[in-house]
Formats: sequence, C-alpha cells, structure tokens
Amino acid sequence: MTSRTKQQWDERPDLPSDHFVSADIYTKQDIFDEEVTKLFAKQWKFVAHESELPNKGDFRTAEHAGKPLILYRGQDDVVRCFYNACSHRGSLVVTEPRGNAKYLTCFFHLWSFDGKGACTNITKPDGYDACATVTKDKMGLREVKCVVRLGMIFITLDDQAEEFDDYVGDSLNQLEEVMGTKPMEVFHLHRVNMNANWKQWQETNMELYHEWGHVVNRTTSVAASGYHERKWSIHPNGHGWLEPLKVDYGNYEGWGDRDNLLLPGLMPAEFRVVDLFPNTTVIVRGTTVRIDTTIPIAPGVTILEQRGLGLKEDSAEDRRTRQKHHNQFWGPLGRNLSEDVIFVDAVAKANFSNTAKWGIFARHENMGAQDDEIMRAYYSVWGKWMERRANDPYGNMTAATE
Amino acid sequence: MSMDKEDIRQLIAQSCLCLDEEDYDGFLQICSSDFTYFVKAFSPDLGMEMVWMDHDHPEFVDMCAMIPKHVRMSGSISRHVNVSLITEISDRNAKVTSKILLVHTGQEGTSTILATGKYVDQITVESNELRIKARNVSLETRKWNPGLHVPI
Ligand code: FES
Ligand SMILES: [Fe+2]
Repeated sequence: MTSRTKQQWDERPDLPSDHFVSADIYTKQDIFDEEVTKLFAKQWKFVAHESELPNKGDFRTAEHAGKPLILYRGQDDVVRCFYNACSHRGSLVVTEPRGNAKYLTCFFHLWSFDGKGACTNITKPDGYDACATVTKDKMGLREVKCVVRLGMIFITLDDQAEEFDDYVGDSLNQLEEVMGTKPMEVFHLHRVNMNANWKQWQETNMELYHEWGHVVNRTTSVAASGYHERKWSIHPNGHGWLEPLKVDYGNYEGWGDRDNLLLPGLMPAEFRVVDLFPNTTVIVRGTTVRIDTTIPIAPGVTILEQRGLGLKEDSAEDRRTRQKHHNQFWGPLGRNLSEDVIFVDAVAKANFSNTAKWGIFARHENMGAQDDEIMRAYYSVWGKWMERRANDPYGNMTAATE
Repeated sequence: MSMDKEDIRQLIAQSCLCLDEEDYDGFLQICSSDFTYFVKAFSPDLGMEMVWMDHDHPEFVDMCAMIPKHVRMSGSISRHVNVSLITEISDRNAKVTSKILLVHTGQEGTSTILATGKYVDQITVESNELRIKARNVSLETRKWNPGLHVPI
C-alpha cells in the first residue's frame, strides 16, 4: 500500500495515545478560550527582561492572557507588575511601550499611582466625600505576582499560583551561570505575525528533527559531533532542557567560529536550550542569548516576540560582534528564524483546513536530541491543565480505540 | 569625474531592479569593492536602535550566495524607491537618501506592503564609474511575517 483513502487518512493513528495529537488542539476556538482561562491565567509567564526597565521609575507595557499589563520599577528599585487599568474608570494607565515616571498618572482624569501601585492622587477628591470607599488608600492598582530570575521577569495572573521557584524547579540551572553572573541587556526585540497556533511555535523549540529543514542547523549542528548523544531532561511541569552541544559555525559558508566573547560558563560555540512550559524558550549560542515567547491572539493567530541579549558591560565593538552572531541565526533577516515561521504556517494551513487531522510525536531516541519524549511530556502536562487529552480533546474515541 | 544627479538616480534605480530580480552579481557590480551593508530599526520597546544586519563586502557576498539554499517566503518583492535627497559632498562622494517601500506579491497574486523605511547610500567613483560604497537601510517596519533572507 502506498497512498491512503480518506477513511484511512482520517482514522486514529495506530499508536499509543501519547504518540500523536489531534489538530483540534490547534484549531478550535473553544479549546483556545479554555487555554486562556486554564493555562495562561494560571501559569507563570516570561514578560520582559529587567534591562528593559533599568532605572527607578522605568516602566514597560506587556500583554498576557489578553490583559494589558504594566511593569514598573519603583523608587525602591523593585520591579512590580499591575493590570494596565485605572482604578477609576478603567482607562489604560500607560499608553506608551516604555517610559519613566515617579508616578503613573492616568491621562483620562489624572489619578496617579506610585511604584507600589498605591493611589497617590485623586483629582479634586472632595467630590467623593459622600463615598467613603473612594479614597486613595482603597484605590490602588491591581498588582500581579511578579518575580525576577536571572534578569528575566516572570508574572502570573493567579494570586494562588505555586511559587515560581517550585514551578520551574531546576529548569533554569543551565542558564544560572550564563545569565546570572554578569548583568545582561536586551539589544533586539522584534515581533512576528504568525498564521498558526501558539503551540505550533513552541513545538519548533522542542522537536529538533526539523533542524534537518534548516540549512544552517543541518550544517552547523546536526552534523556536529555529539549532536544526537545529548540527552533531554524533562521536568514534571513540562519544562525541558538539553545537554550542551559544541556547534560548528564554520560549517556554514562564510561564517567563522565563536570562540571569543563567550558568555560566562560556556565552552566555545556552546549551544544550550531551555524550554519553559507553556510558551517561553531561552536559547544560548556561545556569545548571545535569544528569548522567545508568544502572545496567542486566536487559534490561528499568534504573535511571536523574540529578544536578543548581550552583556550590559559590552564595549561598542563587542556588542557589534554579539549582534552579528545574533543576526546570523535570528532576527527577521537571520538565516534560521524566518524559516521556522514558514514551517509553522505551512502546518497550520493544513490543520486549519481540516486537511491534516493528526500530528505524530512517536520518535524514540533514548532521550537524545531528536527524541519526541519532550513533546509527549509537554502535551501530557497540557492535558492535565486543560482536563483534555491532546490526542482526543473532545473525548470522541471509544475507550477501546483510545 | 563629477557627480551627476541623474546618473545617481539611475544607479539607485538599477540597484533596486537588481535586488528585485535577485541578481546579486549585477548588484555587486554597481557596488564598490569596499561596499558595506547595514540594516537598522528603532525599537520603541527598548528605546534604542537595533542592528539587524551589518555586513562588509565579503560577508555580503557570502550571504547572497547562500540564499538559494534556504527555505523562503514564496513570491516576489518589488522595491519602490523615491530618491528624495542628494547631497554632493565632493566630486567623488555623495550621500543619497531615498524613501523605500517593499511590496510583496504572493504566488497567487496578492500584493501587500512588506516594509517601509529609507536607504541612505554613500556613492563613490571607482574605475571611473559611479558605485554604491555603503547602503544603510533604516526600517520603520518591525513586525514581520515571516522575515527575509534577501537584502532589503
Ligand atoms: S479612568 Fe483613570 S483617572 Fe479616570
Ligand atoms: Fe527551527
């Protein structure tokens, strides 16, 4: 038998239930809506790097689970997060992506808030004398739990969420020395509109056999010695990281090695990847770091946000080299990143037209680089949060076939 | 040789036609031997200028040579250029600022604006011919789908 009939094509893959997913998890609006409430409103999420608001009074805006947020470094030098919504009538308090202010003053009726989210000004407050609850001490902003780890700012909308350090466990260990020794600085931030589901992007940072599709990865990494021998470590919360690799950058025509300007704790040309459930990835390439996160808009609309980092202490010349290294692979003009967008959009095209009904994650390579165990673990954790099985989200399969 | 504004306009137009055709040999023929290529974009999120490409002549040549090996957005890109300002610096050097609009046309025929920004070109004379010595691209567009493998 070569090709398959419609019935054969549509039928449940003859595989263990965790070895495939249903395309419905990417395409269905009700599942997406549930992801917002069951996953994104509960989970810890990377939102920015602390270098984006280095000084007291600096603020940045962000968006998570459909909510506009403010990150604000107070006069006590602590970064906090608040809903970007005024206590008065709900206007956005901050309308610029960044800025500096001792107080945030809402532009609508000029109420003000300080770095701890306390209301510091109600315009002509005697107008509220008849209402004892409309006073500065009761009109603070809604604070969102926020921690800074290795310079990365994580938030959760769930006041009852487990502590961040318990949530990530030892998943950040691979980054401890690289990102935690010297202050780092974001030098690149760009966004990509993808016509795909947010999980399809995250998959590109976990399943590594698509590296065959990238000419840069194929030549510099898959061909490098030790590539397949690296083992995945998988955390029960769905995070994962891979043992380091020495990449052969010189294998790509015109590129040199990456033996200098190494970030702390790295061997020349060392590659590391850390995936944090559900949608953040940190990738280290010797001299520079990329942080990916996604902003899901709809089942088939995702904004990818990609940052590039160097050391804060970089001289102009060193920064230039790091930027070059960053831009070789990454950024909108890099050799690798835009290919992933094309891959993902192509998968989504077949999924959203209900043409491809299944995705197969059935590779077993003894937990090596191209093993699908990381994908299986990811979707198992997704299933727990969602109370649905990724291979059968609507419970259509009979117990016998499931 | 002195700098003739019409010749300069022709040179910029020719450079865009070469890039539209993906004729990188043709493009490099009208660039000087010490050509540099630079793309930047200002990030309102970071409050700083981002460098997106920074190549000397050999790096630019290598980059162009590898383009056919990559997975790329299908369709074609058309560069619409308006040479807005020519500042003659000397008889052998000029600075040219042009507004650019990159329009992508997909295989099915839909055209969309891909990017807007400007070229700031340094023009020089080499072997008695006008040559582009440096192209600095400033992009206003920063949000992409999916990204490019080709020079802007
Ligand atoms: S809505 Fe902000 S001051 Fe009125
Ligand atoms: Fe990739």
